[in-house]
Amino acid sequence: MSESSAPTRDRAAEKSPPVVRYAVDPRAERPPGRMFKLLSSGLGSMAPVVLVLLLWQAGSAAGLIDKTFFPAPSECVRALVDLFSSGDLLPNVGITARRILLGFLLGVIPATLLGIAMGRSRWVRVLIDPLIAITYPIPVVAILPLLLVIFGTGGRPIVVLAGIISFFPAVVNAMSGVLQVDERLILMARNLGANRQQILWKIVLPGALPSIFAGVRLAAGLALLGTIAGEFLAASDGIGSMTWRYWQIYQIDNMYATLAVIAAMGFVLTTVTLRVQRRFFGWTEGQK
Amino acid sequence: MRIEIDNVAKGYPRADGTRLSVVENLSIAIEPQEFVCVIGPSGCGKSTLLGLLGGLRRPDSGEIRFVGDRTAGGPLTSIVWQDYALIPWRSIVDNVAFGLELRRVSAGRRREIAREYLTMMGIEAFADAKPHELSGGMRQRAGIARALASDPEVLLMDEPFAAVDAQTRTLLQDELLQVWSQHRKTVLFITHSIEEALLLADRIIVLGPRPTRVVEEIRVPFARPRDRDVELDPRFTELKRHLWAQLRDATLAAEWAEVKGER
Repeated sequence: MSESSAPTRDRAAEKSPPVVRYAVDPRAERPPGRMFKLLSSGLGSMAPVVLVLLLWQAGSAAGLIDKTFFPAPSECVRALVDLFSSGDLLPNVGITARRILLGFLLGVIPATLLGIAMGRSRWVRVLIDPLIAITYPIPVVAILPLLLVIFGTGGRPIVVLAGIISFFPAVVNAMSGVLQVDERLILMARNLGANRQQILWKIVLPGALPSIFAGVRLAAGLALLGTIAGEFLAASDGIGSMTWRYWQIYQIDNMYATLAVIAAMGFVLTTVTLRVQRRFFGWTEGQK
Repeated sequence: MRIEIDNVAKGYPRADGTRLSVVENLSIAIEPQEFVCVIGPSGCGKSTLLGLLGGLRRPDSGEIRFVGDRTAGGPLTSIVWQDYALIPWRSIVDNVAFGLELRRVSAGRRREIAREYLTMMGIEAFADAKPHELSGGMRQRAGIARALASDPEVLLMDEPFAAVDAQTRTLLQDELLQVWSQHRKTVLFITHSIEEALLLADRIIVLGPRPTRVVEEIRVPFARPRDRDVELDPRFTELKRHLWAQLRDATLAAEWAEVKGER
């Protein structure tokens, strides 16, 4: 471009002043495509899982994967069907489910009550907090031998293990839920003449409930973990002990089948508790 | 009911162990059915005053007296909060009925009463909505409805329109004038706005910087029922200028105090 003389430059500037354009961007405005919608739908989200299983199956058939450690998915399914039809599976699932539930209740009920008391009273908090701080970091599985000494063999030490493991998240969440309740709502209620009971039942507990329930969800997952770990090490029945036994006698396809059952139990637990959370605590979304 | 704030002092312990005196030797009297606006610079102890009158805090010395027979059925005071203080998990109608619920009014009866007040505030259509679904102005209408439905002797309003936009504030002020002409409660209304005080109040009290004392007190001369036309009255401009002169000095002093770390 020639800039030899001022008049020329002025005319050039008149012709085409610099312009920044913000116009329609077809890429930015494009809605999500059909494929994306399909994959993000409930059933479609299973597609990546199916794909991995198919690759596994194909790799196994092609001899790329060592079948002694990773039997093909079809083998595992067959083993699962066999276990089911032999009548061995369901009673053990029932035993494990019962231990999870008992351990969960054993841990969560006192934990929630204690957590609420800690949130409401600084005296309770100052007395209990150090005890929790010092016991929380202990890996609970490490005290299983102690539990075996105290409670003998059988289901009891396992239930207690699951209980202890699920105690901690429940107590911590209940306490912080109570502490995080909007102080202004408590002042509002006091101004309108609410007594301590009314403040507890109408403001503090409903306000803390989402956090309490988040702790309960964590506790449910940990109760499963504690029960399975306990069954691995110290039980002769239950689905966890089956997994352990099949590993020891090297029936790898059966081991996988029982693992799939444990995974399914975890999945059911997570889904159910998530549904409950969405159903009852929907108001926490869109707040603030 | 007559309110007598008699030589009240209130302070708070500071982190360094000394005591921050917010209110000292404060004496104010409010007559039955009087609408009093309190204006003052930030941090002048308006909120402390509200907490004391609302029964949420007790004075360090002096006392507050509510003199006269209880005529309403509800609590002594109910506060309309700047940030609404609606219970987020409750519907609007159950928020408005909260004060009645605390007094164990039956569910049917208290909803009925709450709906009357929602209608009065023009938000009956949102009775079943949750607070977060409503605009700030709607929420504060619910806040006022709750305070009135609780049927207190005295209404305490803590900068109730400070958090809503200017247009909505205008509407809410007009509505409050309207509602107050029907329910002549004693009102103590805290605000930053001189115009708001002149529009609403029978009497305006200007508070100075901490420790709080009364700097100026004027009677608002405009007749009731009152509307926005009072802004056209030459006395309005005159009083506004006068009050601003008082408030300006107090505000500057308060700002300096804050910068010097006396907060």
